[in-house]
Amino acid sequence: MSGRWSDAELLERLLNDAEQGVAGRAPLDGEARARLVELERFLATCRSALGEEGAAASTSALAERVLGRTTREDLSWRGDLRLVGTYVRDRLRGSLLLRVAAASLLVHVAALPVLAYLAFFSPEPRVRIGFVPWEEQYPPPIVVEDEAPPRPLPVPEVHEEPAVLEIPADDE
Amino acid sequence: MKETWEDDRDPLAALREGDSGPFEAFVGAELPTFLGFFRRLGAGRAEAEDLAQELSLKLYEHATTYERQGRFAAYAFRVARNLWIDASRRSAGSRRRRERDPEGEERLDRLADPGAPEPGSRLARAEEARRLRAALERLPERHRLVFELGVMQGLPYHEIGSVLEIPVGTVKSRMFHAVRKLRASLGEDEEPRRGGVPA
Repeated sequence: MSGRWSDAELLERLLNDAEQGVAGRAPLDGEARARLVELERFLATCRSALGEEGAAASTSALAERVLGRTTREDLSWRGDLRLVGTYVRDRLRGSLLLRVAAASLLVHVAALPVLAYLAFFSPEPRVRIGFVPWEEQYPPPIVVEDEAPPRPLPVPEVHEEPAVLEIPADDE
Repeated sequence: MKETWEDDRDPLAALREGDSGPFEAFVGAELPTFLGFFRRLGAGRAEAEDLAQELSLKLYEHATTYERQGRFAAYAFRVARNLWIDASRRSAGSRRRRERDPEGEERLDRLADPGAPEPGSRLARAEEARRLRAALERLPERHRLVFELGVMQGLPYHEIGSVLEIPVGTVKSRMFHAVRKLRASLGEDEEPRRGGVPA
């Protein structure tokens, strides 16, 4: 009895049986054999088109890096230095923030001797470095004593007289 | 004498015995394989290099505790797959599936070199390769892994099952679906035959 072969079974024949060296499978009929050939061609196309992903890359430098950290590891101080350098380089390459921080550190370290020269050796020291007494730096605050409430001002007595209008008499 | 990498000379077992030759040969010979593996799964060039390097270092570090169970290639791919899963989780949600690959596109363009013989077929092949790459990226990761290990790396089904920790039946099913979807992307898909014995 011949059965119809599914694509999954044909794929298994192509991919699994050849690798496993499986023998004794039922022979394929003409139609199944044609589909097997199509599948084989398609898989060959895939391998050809996709197989260049890794092959084209230059891996010798990568292999050297790997071996330098494994079987050919330098156990002397040079190897330690190289390891630290590789680590720092990899971390810097992977983080923009770290690169900015490293650049800032370099600028500060480079600027420090310049500032020190200006501070200590310029003719007119622009910077005075020393200790300022606490009282001079922070003078005590002005203490305002509580004043007695103001006394009322003396006000002289005022006698008010009603004002009388003197109307001159008419001369008759 | 230059050592060669052969599957029956387990590099890690040799390392434990003090012989670093097989491991060095393995690294030299198989780094492009793993680079391609990670690239086809969706890693960019720099990330694929980092992962391939991390894989080699992990294998080296595991030499002291390694116990041979089956082929070394299957063990190495198992470690590679775990590294890929960890990397995917670390960058989940922010991963670009593939960074632009100017060299790859240039390679494809060279295939379409107008000075080469039969430019029509070269262009068609370049276009086919481009569509295949795009289709592979669209595959679900579980299908892409099975396709990669079975078709590109040539592992048998039971080793794929061992690497991915899935039954062989699942491997068959995922391989079928992966190939069907890829063929559909190239317009080759006829009605897929799921099989069954005719009544």
